[in-house]
Amino acid sequence: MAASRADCALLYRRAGFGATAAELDQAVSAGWTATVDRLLQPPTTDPGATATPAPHLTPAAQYASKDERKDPKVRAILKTEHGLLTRWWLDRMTAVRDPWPEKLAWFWHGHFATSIDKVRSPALMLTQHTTLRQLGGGTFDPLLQAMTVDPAMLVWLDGRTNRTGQPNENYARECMELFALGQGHYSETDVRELARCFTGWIIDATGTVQLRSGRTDSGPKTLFGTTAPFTTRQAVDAIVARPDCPRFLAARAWSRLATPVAADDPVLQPLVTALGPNRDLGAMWRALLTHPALLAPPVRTGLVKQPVEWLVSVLRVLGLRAKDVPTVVPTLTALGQVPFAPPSVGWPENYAWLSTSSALVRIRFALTVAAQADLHALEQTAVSSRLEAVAHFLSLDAWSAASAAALTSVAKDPPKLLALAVCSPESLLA
Amino acid sequence: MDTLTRRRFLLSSGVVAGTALAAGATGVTLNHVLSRARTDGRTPGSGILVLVTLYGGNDGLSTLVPYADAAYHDARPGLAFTADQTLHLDDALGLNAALPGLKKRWDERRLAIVRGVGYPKPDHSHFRSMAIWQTAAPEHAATTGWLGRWLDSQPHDPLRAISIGAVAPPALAGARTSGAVLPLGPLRLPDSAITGALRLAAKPSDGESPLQAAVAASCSDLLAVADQLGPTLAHLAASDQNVGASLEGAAAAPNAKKGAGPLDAQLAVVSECIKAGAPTQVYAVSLGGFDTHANEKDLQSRMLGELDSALAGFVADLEGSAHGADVTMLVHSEFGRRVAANGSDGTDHGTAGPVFVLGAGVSGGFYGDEPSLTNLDNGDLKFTTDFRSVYASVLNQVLGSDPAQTLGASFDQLPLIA
Repeated sequence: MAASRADCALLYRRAGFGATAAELDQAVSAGWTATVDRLLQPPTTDPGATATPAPHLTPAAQYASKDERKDPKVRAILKTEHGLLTRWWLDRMTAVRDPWPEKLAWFWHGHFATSIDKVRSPALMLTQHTTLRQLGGGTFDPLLQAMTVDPAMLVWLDGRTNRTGQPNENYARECMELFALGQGHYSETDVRELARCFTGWIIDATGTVQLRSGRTDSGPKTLFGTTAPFTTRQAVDAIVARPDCPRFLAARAWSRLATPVAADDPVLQPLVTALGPNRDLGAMWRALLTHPALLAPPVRTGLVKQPVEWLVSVLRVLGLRAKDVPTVVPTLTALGQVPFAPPSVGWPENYAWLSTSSALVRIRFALTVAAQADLHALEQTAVSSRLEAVAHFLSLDAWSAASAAALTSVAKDPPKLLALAVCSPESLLA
Repeated sequence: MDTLTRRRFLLSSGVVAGTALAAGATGVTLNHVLSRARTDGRTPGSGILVLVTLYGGNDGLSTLVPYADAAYHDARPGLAFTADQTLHLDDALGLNAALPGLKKRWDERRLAIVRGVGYPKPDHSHFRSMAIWQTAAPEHAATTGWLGRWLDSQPHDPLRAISIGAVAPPALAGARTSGAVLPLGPLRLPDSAITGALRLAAKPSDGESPLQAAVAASCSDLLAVADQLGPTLAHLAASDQNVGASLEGAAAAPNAKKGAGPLDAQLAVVSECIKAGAPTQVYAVSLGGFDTHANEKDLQSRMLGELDSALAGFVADLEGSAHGADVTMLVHSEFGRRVAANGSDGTDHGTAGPVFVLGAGVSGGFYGDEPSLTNLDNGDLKFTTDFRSVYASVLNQVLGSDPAQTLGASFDQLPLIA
C-alpha cells in the first residue's frame, strides 16, 4: 500500500499523538504496511519510555486498613501520589518515541473507565494501568479475567462487597454492558446470575486480592441459558465466548480510533474477523490500522481529538514535555478529561469536547505553551510563507479559507500564529 | 444593568454581521437563532430553571428533621435534633436551624418540599448515584444528561443552558450539544489580535466537515457568549476560579474538581445574567462537601448555612427584577444517608432524601410521602417519589417541554408550579 504524506499523518494521529515532519518523511519512504508494523511493534527499546519509569508509590498495604478521613498522613500520601501518577503518565505520553503503547493503554483506560475518585489508591490505579499495558494487545480473555479481579476494579464497581447471599450486581452488569457485550445482549437474569459467579473476592488488610470461600456462592447458576456451578474464571470465559463479544469490541475500537459515526457491520467485519475465536486484540488493532476505510472521508474527518490527545499532540509537536508545563493538569481539568479520573460511563466523544469554555481553555493553553516553545525556525521564515510552514510543521494538508484568514491576521506574531493553528478545526480533528 | 437585546447583540458581535454560521450537526445556525423573534431572548411564557446540586450526599433527615418521630431519636442518639432545635413546618417535620431563609420561603408558600425522593435499586456510590441523578437513567449507563437531552431537542443556542465554574456537569451534556460554561468572575477573552483571529476562524468554509464546522461554531459561540455576557459580568470581582487565571493558580492542585467556587459567587453570576435578560433557560450551580461520615452536626449545619444564605441572597437580588418571577430553583443531592448514625457521629451513604423546589411561581407545601423510619430496606429509607417525577414536573411546568421525550418514559408530575 503506497502512502501519501497526508495518509501517514492520519495514521500517526490515530495510532499515536501526531507525527513530526521527520517521522512523516520516514513513514512515506517506508510505506504504509512497514509504518503500521513499526508503530505496533517498535523494533528497539524506546529510550523515551526508559527515561520515564512509573513513579514509586506507597504500596496500598501501608494504608489499606486505615481510614483516610481520620488520618491526615494517609490523606497526604493519596493526594501527593495522585498528582505524581497523573503527571507521570502525561509526561510519558510526551516523552516516548513510540506512541502506540501509550495510545493502547489510553484506549483501555477509557474502556474500563475506572476512576481514582472512588478507588482512592494511586498504587492500585497504577497496578490496573500496568495490567492494561501488558494485556491490551494480546487476547481479550486474559484481559477481562484480570480486570474482573483487579483491585482497583473491585473497589470501583463494588466487587469486593459482592458475597453469597448478598450479591452486588454492579460489576456483573457493567462487565457485560460496558466491557464485553453491550446493552441488549444479556438478560436481567444473566446480570443476577453473573453477580453470583463473581462472589467472594475481597481486598485484605495488606491490599491483596483474595477469594474467600465463605463469601463465594458455589451453587449452580444459569448463565446465558446454561446451568452450571460457574466460577469467576468460567463465567468470564462464557462472556468472552459469546458471539456478540467480537462485534462489541470492534465497534468500541472503531469508535475511538476511527470514528463513532457510521460503524456499521460491513465496516467492522475485518476487525470482527481478525478477533476470531481467540478474540485476538493484536490482530484487531492491525486490521483497524490497515482498514481501507480509515483513509476515506467519513473516518478522516469523523473524529475529534479527546482533550488529552489534543494536549499531548500539541506538546509533542512543540518539543515540550508535560513535566515542564505546569498548566497541563489544570487545563485538562478545565477541559473535563484528566487521566485516571474518567466518569463512570467513560468519556464522551466528538461534539461533547467542543464547548464554549473548552475553546477558551484551549486557546489560553496554546498561548502559554507557544510562548514557551522554541519557534526560531518559524521566526526566520518569511511572513508570507508562514502559513505553509506551520501546516508542514503540524503535518496538516491545507488550511480552510476561514483558518487561513484567521492565521494570516496573526502571521507576524509566531507564538500567536502557532497557538491559533493548534486550536484550528484542522488541528482539533484526529 | 442594561438589557441584552437582539439589537445590542448584533451591534456588539462582529461574528453575526451578515454571516451565517455553521453550528455543527444540528444544522441550525446562530443566525437562525438570532433572527427568530425574541424580545427578552426566552420563549415567551417559559421559565428559568436554576439547578443546585449538592455533592457528597446531603443527609435528608438532618435537613428535613422528623423531630416528633421516636424512631428518629432512637436511631441517632447524639446526632438527632430535638423539637426546639428545628424550624417547625408542621407537627412532625422541621427544617434544620441553619435554614432560616428556606423557612421564610416556606411561610410565604414559595417552597415545595418533595419528600422521600429516590429511585429503584439505590446505588450507594457517590459517583454512580450522582451519574444516575444527572443522566436520569437508573437502569443503564447513559452518556447524556437529562438537561443535555432537553438541549438536544431545542434549536441550537449557545446561551440556552449555562453552568458556572470550570466544567459543565454531566446533566448538561447532550449528544449533540452541551451547555456553555461561564467562569466565576469576569469572562476575559485573550487580546484583541487573538479575538479578531477567532472571529475570522469562526466563519464557515467551503467543503469543511460537520466536525470542523462544530469546532468553528464553538469559537463563534464563545465569542457570542463573551459579547452578550462579557459586559454584564465585567464588574464581578476577579476570582481564581476564572478559567484563565486558574490555570496558573491551580497548577499544584491536580485533584481540583467540582470546585465551582462559593455558591453565593456562582449565584451572583446567574443573577447578573438573569437581570440582564439573557436568553438562558437553565443554569447549573453546585456546592460540595456534604459527605458527612464523621462529626456531622457541625459540618452539615455549616454547609446548609452556606446553602441557605446563598439562596436567600439570590432571591433577594432578583426581587423586583423583571425576570425574577420566572425563576425556579431545584435543589438536590445524589442520595440521603443511612437512618442510623455510625460510630463517628456521622452517617454513611443512604438512599432517598428531600428535594427542594422554590421560586415565585412555586406552590409551596409538601409533596410525596415522608418515608417510614421503621420500615426500612436494609437500614435505608424506601423512596416514595421517583426523582424523574420531579424532573418531569420542571421540564413541563418550568421549561415548557415534553418530559417523556427527555426522560424516555412518562412519569407522574407533581403540581409544583402554580
